Amino acid sequence: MAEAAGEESYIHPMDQFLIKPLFGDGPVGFLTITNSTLWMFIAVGCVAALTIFGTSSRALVPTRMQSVAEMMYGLVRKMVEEVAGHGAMAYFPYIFTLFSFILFTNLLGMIPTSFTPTTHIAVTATLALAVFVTVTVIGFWKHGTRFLSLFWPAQAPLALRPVLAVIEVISYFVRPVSHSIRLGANIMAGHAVLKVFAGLFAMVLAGGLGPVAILPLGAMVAMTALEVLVAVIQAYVFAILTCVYLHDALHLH
Amino acid sequence: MAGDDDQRLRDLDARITAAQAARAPDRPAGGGKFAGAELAWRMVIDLLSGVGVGGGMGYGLDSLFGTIPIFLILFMLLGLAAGVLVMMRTAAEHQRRLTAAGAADPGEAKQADPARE
Repeated sequence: MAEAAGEESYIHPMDQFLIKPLFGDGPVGFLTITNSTLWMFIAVGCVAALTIFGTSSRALVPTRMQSVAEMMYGLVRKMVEEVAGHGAMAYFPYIFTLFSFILFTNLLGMIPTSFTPTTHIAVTATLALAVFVTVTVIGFWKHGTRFLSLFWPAQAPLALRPVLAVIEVISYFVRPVSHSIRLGANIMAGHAVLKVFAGLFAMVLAGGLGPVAILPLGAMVAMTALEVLVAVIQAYVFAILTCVYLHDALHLH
Repeated sequence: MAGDDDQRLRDLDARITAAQAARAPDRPAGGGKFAGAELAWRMVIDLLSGVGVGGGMGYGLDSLFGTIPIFLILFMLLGLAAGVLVMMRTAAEHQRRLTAAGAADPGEAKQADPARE
């Protein structure tokens, strides 16, 4: 009886995504400080520490910290210049903020027993909606109602235009959805798989098949390496897609 | 004196740029093998969320007019089309980037040019 209950409790791949209030046991409300909030603040703190303290000496020959900060800056700057194009530099701070925040929440989530806010669609959807609203407002602000020509395929045959316009509108609204699902699902799936392998490892050990446990352990090591890669790539993809959307809003087709 | 320092800094900058260019990897940055998987994932998610968004819009219109399931079906199909559209654009953009990366190598760029329409 006890053993059966124990065996069942090895694998809880989704438990790591539970939102828990940090202070007290009350219900999670709008302003409750939860583990998610904590790790977001830690991520913001790390970004601030890296960019403020790392570059505070303003050394000509950078220290290691300053070098990392400069590389991050250079990466995002190059991306904004190349992808978002001319006149997008004004929005560089926003894209850099997004990139560094997502990068650090993802990477901090790789620390065992930590929490990854970006596994929650609520967090990624908020980020994606912020991008969506910002880009739409920029489009209308720069081009006025001419921005709507983005949805009007002028070179298509007249009879087809309304249908194509509806498709264009839908594809515009697909952006925030896919933008948020891509990040959230990637990170969440990776973390869940890691937990499954960890549970498998414990089950094999408890089942008395000692040496076989090397298989799930090896898989975990490989998955961890892959997850670090995914953490960085997803932050990069989120930022680069923001640049693509920004480019569309700044320079209409 | 200050002008002299400026000159030295500019020289250093030029030398660093030259050294970086010499050491830059031949292939375009983007993660090698994994970049392809990333692109594929992007397309799949775009396609699926196209259907999802279309279906959601259709369902909304249906519950507004009480005509279920006409708009639901119609907008799901339109959403699929939108998903394909987004996918094609992603592919076109990828092609464009490959072409831009291959511009350093004239033969490759010429090969990729017709696909750009």
